[in-house]
Amino acid sequence: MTLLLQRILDGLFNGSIYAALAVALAISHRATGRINLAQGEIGLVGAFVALALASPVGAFVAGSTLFAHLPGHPFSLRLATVVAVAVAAVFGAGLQAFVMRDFADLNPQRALNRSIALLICVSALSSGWWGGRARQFGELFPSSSRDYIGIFGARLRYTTIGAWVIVLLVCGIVHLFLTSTRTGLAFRALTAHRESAELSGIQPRRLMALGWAISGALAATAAALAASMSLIDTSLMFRTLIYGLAAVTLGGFDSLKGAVFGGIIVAQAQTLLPGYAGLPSEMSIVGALIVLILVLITRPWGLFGHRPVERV
Amino acid sequence: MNSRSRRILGALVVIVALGLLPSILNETDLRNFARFLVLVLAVLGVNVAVGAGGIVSLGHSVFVGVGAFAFVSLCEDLGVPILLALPFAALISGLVGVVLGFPSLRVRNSQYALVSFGYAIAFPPFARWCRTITGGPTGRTLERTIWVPDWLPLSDIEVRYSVAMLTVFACGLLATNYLSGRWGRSAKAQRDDALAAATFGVPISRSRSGVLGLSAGLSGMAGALSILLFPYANISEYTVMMSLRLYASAVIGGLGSAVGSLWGVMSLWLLPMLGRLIGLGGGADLIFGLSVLLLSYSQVDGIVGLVREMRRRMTSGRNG
Repeated sequence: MTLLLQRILDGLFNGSIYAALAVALAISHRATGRINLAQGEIGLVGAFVALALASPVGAFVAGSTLFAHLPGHPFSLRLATVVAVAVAAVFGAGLQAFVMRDFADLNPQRALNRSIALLICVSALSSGWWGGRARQFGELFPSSSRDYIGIFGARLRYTTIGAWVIVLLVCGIVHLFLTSTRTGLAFRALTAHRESAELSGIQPRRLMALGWAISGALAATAAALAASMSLIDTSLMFRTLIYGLAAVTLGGFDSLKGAVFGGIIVAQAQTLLPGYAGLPSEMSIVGALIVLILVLITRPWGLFGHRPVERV
Repeated sequence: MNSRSRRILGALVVIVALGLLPSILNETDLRNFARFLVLVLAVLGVNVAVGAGGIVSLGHSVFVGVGAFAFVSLCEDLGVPILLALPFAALISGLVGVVLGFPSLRVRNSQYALVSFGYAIAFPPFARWCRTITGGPTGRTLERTIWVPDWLPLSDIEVRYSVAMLTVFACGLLATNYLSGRWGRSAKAQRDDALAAATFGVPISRSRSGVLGLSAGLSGMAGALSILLFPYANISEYTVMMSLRLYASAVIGGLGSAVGSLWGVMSLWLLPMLGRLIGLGGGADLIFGLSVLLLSYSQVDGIVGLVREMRRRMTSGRNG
């Protein structure tokens, strides 16, 4: 019983990563109506920027010499992560504004090519700068062996609490922005019906860039959390992206709440299934894939999404 | 001379030329040339799925990997002779393609792209788990040698190259015939408009499965051949990046034509060189990504489309 509880609590940490990435995917999908395959890689660039900001020049992290002129470098990892999240937001907005301007208007095949091309480019950039060996990212939250809260004998670690506080805070801000500001309203109008929104005077370009900025920030948060759990290398977000995609598909692309719940469910499946089915933990990625396929086949609009109505 | 006999003559010329190559080229050049051809075959696999079938697959590293490991396993574990193991490895890979392609019958193309991307990501951990076949992190070595009759004045390694080159050529012919034939037409019809194609009696599911099976079989054959040439198979090769590179070369070469794969793999060599000439560092992948990005801005269909467009302009200029 304690073991089950412990596994559930352990899975919660991964859940926060997948939830953040899933919300990022959902927001960028809302902005352009298309899936951004490079979402994870944009976040990864953010995490590497954080690493560069927090590493001394001697650590041979690309970019750390660039930031060395800033007063106070190397920064603390937390400050560096906050800055890097902002950098990833600007990066995402820039990509959308300059490279993916017509992403929403392309035909599906061309849009997919564009998305794949962006994935290859961003991934090649981060491999070129930070490729090679995996690196230590560091801890974002107190994580010594005593930093936990006991719940019926199981340990809820501070890292898990911290990660969830951050993710829920960011998601809450995004939710508030979408529901109670004028720009958020315009964004939702754009999502609901592009043409009508444009006809009523909404400028899609700015809003699309804004959507990609938000999702870039969320993806960088996810990447930093994922990196703090293990090592950071250039393939980190490929693995995470599959869980994120499974989560957002499960929750439904048009629902933030769904994306968060999807993240929790996928992460629980990831920890519980190998634990009880006797499979090695690496095989859990196959589990995520099966979830993705099953949801796409049986309920492509997800658990919380709205069933699309097609007019013939 | 009609087109049929011209095609047969062309095929004969190519076969003789390929057969003569081992005696002309030294071993390094031969190795590189064979590697080039095998890569063309792998890209051809992607090209068949994406170009003819309209099914965007980012998972072709899986099929290359399955072909490679099936080949090694057939030869080493079951003792199948090499020449027999090659088609069987391709067949296994093709069947895997049909099975993994099942979601593509139900979901939209953009969603299947995600699923196949997932295949590519999940393949290395999965292969590591099947360590009896894949040898886990240490990989597998092909120790079986090819049977060479005494009267052939070729060494073992030269025979391997000849087998690889002839197989690639045969597969290329198979694919072009498929694309221009009845099955290729029905595949293209369902790609352009599934509903209209179904109305005209195209069996959509069978057509899509067939395209994916052939495509996976071609890529699997490429995987098996690469093991024949370099007798060592390791999981760490069959990564997402391999899938993305294969896809990028198919797009750069031009989708929907077999020659496009040739161009695409050539650009795999030429583009990084070109990039170095104009002083663009950052590795081949970046240049690849940028090329696909540029192509997605234009209406041009890869290098093949570019050539076709130029030829059209030149001929129309001459006429008017």
